[in-house]
Amino acid sequence: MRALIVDDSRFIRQHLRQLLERDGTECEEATDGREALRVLRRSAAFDFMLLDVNMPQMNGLECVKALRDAGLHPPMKVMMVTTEADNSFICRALECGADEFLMKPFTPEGLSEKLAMLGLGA
Amino acid sequence: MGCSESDYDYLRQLVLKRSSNVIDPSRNALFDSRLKPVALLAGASNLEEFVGLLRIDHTAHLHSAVAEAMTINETSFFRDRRLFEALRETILPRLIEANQATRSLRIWSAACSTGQEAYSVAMKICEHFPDLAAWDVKIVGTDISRQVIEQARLGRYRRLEVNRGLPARKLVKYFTRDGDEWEIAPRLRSMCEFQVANLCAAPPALPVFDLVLLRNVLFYLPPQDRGLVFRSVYRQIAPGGYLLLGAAEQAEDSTNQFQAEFAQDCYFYRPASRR
Repeated sequence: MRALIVDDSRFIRQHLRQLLERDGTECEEATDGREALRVLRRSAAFDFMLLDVNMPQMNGLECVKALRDAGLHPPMKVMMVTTEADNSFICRALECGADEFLMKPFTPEGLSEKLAMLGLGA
Repeated sequence: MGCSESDYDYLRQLVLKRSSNVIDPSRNALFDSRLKPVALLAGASNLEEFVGLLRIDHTAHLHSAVAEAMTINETSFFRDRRLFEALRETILPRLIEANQATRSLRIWSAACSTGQEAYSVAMKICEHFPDLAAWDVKIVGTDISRQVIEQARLGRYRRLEVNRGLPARKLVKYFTRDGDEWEIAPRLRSMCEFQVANLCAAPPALPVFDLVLLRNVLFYLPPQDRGLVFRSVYRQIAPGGYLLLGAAEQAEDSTNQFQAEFAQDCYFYRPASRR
């Protein structure tokens, strides 16, 4: 599987990469929403994207809406990974086109279970 | 903390006698972490001193507190998706068809811990079987630990708990955020009731159940107690009822009172010889 990890925190990107590569997922990274769109436009298909919300240049909500509006990688699952946790915010993320939502902090088991919910992984 | 091997053995025997819970010697560190608050409340400054207290003080409440602190409470929402798919695709439709005359459904979440399994079943019913809102549906959760039963009754969960196994759409639909906790919707809470019960002791007054979930508890019990638990479940299950175990568990080694069936990539059990 191929995943795009989008977060302005290098620590979070590295942490997610380690967890995903452990299960054999090939990962690319982007530091904000704008860079994520550039990666998506030039790259082969990704199975899923892990997307932070609060990022410079373009935040996660803007990014997921833009990629869905542009029809980029339509089958790709998008999971927001963020400290934001209000029900209204989660609803907005789902309306913008996110498929799932993982709150920070998360456990490796929590991440695996959410990916499994999306039909990804074990 | 920490104590001698003979003290760990004493604790192991106490827990086994009180709750049939087997704590392997390789997991002695669990005694250190789980019993620290109990020891401090009892006035002991370390585990060794606490064991000394236990050896001379045989009052039920102190020994029960130890057994309760050592119960394994690992659970999450929708644990084992295949099982919940089997509930949706096969088991609940069959039970609904069988119970058309009574329009009633009784479900037992045995060893329910903090209630996530019971509330997950309630969500599944509300989501996929809305007509059951007009039925008499009750999900009973039981557990040996009073502390987890109290939490289950509250129906309030922390971030790490709602972050496990719970789809985002169900979180926003069935929970209300209150600070850093999420509270289950009143209509789900009203479908569930929780009571303290020891699976290996005489059961409290319980109804006859159409569906029993007894998942991920048997492998913590010694073999002689597994048979006892199955006999207890057999007494409480309807002739056409369904028993679900954990994905890695099977009944065949412990009982001949249940027969296995297979559907939706999932094993389940039916009571034998009463159908």
